[in-house]
Amino acid sequence: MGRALENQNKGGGALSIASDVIRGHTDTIILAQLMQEDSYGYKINRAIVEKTEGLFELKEATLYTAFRRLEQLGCITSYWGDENTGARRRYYSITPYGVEQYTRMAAEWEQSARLLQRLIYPETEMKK
Amino acid sequence: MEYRLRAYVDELFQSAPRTQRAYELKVELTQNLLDKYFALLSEGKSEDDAYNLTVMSIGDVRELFAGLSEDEDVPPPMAQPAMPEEGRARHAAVVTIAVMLYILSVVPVIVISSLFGGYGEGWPVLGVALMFVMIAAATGLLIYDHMTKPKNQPYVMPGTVVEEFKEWQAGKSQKKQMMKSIRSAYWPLVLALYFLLSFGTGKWYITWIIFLIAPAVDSIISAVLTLQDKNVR
Repeated sequence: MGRALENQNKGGGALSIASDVIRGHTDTIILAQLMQEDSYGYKINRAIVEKTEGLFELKEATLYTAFRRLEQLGCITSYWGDENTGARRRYYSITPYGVEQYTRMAAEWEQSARLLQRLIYPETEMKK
Repeated sequence: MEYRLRAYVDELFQSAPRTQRAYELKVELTQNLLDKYFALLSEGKSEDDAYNLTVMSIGDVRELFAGLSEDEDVPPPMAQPAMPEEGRARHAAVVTIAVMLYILSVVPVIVISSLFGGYGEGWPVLGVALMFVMIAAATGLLIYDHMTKPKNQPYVMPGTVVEEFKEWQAGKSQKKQMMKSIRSAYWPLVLALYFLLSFGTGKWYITWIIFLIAPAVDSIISAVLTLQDKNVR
């Protein structure tokens, strides 16, 4: 996890582009995590770090801003969990409207990816 | 080190709006940061490294805090109008009338004594009496206004030391407010006494001394009252 931060700080060219692209899809990524199960801030971020093999991590501020935005839009709801350990965590849960939005955003991403593919590799497109 | 992390979050939230949402966010953020901190420790990081990495991962909270104050579905308690518009208008009107009465109160004295001064002893007295009536009315209005003014209580997070302090203070300020009202009547009365003595005795060259005596009396009275208050406590 520390590795992710170090890499981010170095700001390697290719990685910073990747980070920018990923940041543009913060809402979709969070919704994707919540599609699997209800979760809380740290757990979602840890899942992101694991999936990107430590190359990307959301800042806490970005994460909570996104949570509130999604909650206000009605895509997610939250509740306080009752852990026995004394830790109080706020869990987030995706709503039917959120599922709808996730499906729409995922479809949009697929289209963007297709278009980017064509734009970045014009030759391969020509051959096809 | 865990304490240091909590202290850091506390400081961070100094600039956040004082709302229920902000408080909940603080609890949520603190828990998640602690999770992260302990995870880093278990990865074999030193305490200092873990702390620094955790703090760095927070990022820029300005946008986050800005969102806290503009929540539409949960209006921040601070936005509650301290005084309804109607009450504010009434307050302004009452104070204006009272001040006008104070200023105009010398008019009958001047007018009556200059117009009817020659016709006998009774007329100037009538002028002074009128002045007293006007001053009394104005003072009465001010006191009434003070007593009925709704208190402007700032919002405090429930269950905090601050709240207890506010409650304790509120009990005290009730008494304070009454004293303030009474004291606001003091100076008009001094002014009235000055005119009464001056017109009554005609010794204008000496009666101004009353303005030297009055502040002294004021200080003595408030000192005595404060002492009494302390003894009761």
